[in-house]
Amino acid sequence: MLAYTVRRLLLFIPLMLGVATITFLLLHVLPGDPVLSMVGERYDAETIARLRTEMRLDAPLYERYADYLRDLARLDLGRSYVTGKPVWDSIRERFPQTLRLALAAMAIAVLAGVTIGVLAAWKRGSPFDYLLVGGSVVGVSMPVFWLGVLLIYAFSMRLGVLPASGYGGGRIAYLLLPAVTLAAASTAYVARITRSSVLDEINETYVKVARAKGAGEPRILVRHALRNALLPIITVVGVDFGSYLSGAVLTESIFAWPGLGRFTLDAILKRDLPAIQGAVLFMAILFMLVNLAVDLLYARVDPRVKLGRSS
Amino acid sequence: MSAPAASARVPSRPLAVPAALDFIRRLQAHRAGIVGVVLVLVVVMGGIFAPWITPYHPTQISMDDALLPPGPSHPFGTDAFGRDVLCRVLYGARFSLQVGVVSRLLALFIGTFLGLIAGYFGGKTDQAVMRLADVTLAYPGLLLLIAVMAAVGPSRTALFVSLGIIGWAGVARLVRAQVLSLKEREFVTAIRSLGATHAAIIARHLLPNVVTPVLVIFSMGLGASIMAESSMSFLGLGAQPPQPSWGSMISSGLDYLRVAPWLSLAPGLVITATVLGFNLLGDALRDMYDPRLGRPRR
Repeated sequence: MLAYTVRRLLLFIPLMLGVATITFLLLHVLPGDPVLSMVGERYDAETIARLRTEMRLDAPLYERYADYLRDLARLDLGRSYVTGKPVWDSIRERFPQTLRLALAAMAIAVLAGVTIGVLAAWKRGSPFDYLLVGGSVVGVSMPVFWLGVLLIYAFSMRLGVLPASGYGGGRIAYLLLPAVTLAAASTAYVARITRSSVLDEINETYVKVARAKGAGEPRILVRHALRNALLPIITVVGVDFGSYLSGAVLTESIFAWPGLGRFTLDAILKRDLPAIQGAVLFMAILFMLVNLAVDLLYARVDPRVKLGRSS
Repeated sequence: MSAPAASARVPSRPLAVPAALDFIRRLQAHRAGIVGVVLVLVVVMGGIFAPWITPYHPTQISMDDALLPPGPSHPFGTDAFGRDVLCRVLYGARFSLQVGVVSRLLALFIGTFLGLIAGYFGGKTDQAVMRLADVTLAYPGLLLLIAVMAAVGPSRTALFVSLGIIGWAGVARLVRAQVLSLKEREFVTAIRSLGATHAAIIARHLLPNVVTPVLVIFSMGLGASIMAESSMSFLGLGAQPPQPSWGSMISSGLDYLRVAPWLSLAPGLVITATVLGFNLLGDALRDMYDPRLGRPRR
């Protein structure tokens, strides 16, 4: 276990460096002049020259890359072109909101997904079961941003029971729609995984023994089958949690949620290069860390997982 | 069953008709696959024949007809500029399918090429390609796509290229895994001992054997590409006005959600149906041709 952990951590370093390099190259090598798009209408040669020097765009690529890595090691992500604030400060300011949304979405996905999945396994072959299987196939084909629009239309505009957007000072009513939107796809997925894992376990001997002892079907499903089906569920939820923390750009922008996703999109629309770079890098590394944690947890929970033979 | 013979070659033209018949025969047993094929056909036909299906023009502004609700002359209603929503949805299908197909083809070419090389030569080549794939796949969800589109600026070509660049890694992993097990097989050892060059072995003997799995993930990836394109267009990083695209139609309809919900609801419904169609078709293809997809063959 220790050797496996160390090996995974060592592998993590080059991967992180790779992500940092690709992010740098994307924003520094690809065509498109950040200065021109920044000054926009106020085009004058002097401003442009000054900005170029300030942004060190005249320096050769390798020098900028070296500077970038050095700053990165000190957690210095540069200053925003737009606000002049350090990007790291803005990220720290925005992150708690993203974390809150992600935790709420994860709670929904687990509670709703597992409940629906167990019910479907219990009533397998029933109309409810078919509805679940069909619904989850449609659910994953539905764009998350469109689901958000549907919910806003139904609950804010037609029924008028929930606010359509904003943070609302952290009130729970404002959290509900974005969290449900973000959780929908994982809920469908968790429900499907739960159903099939529980059904897999149902034919195991220990389940038959429990049944022979006279345990009721719900008790068998929850106390015995579900417990052993938890592992695949943990994996799915863990990976999704990583992408909630980073990939909530769509959900956050529909609901005007003041998190990291919204921050990234704003930075892109304003061509705020240091902010884009910092946010993308932060989210990518966070995502990788969560995935690493899930893998390690997985190996720890299930001794059957053959360590170190991942690829 | 038509399991690929040891030295199977690319199915050439004369085989196209039997292959199609074989496809239909296998499909009959697959109900979800039939739904998928029908959905895909409707969208593809709608896109191709858009100019003949609808009497309207997607960018023709007609302020007298603004925000008409769905009715006989405008089945999906009209938008704030009096443009027919159905017409724009049909032309949006052209855009989405174009972006989807071109970007997937690009991903397929890059991925197959690098996967073949990595798997066949192994060693340092393999290391380099696979570590690059790891890094590409290390970015969560749409983040890499967003970063590329932010760097290059939104345009159709940018969508083609960035979606293609992002999709290659998955294809390369799959192809490499296939090649790893193929290259140890007798027919490859045999032709190598006969003095065949590396290029000939790769092109004439390995490539034909990875065609089927690659086609299966092509269909599965199309749905994902279309979803990614509409997400980008929704965020304003994809299709630019007046180009009709599903994602941007939904986002521009948001301002009128209360008075004219059809503006956002109709294109979203079409995206869902399209992605669902490609997903079901992809699943069916996998079940029909390659149930062990993703695992090396023995």
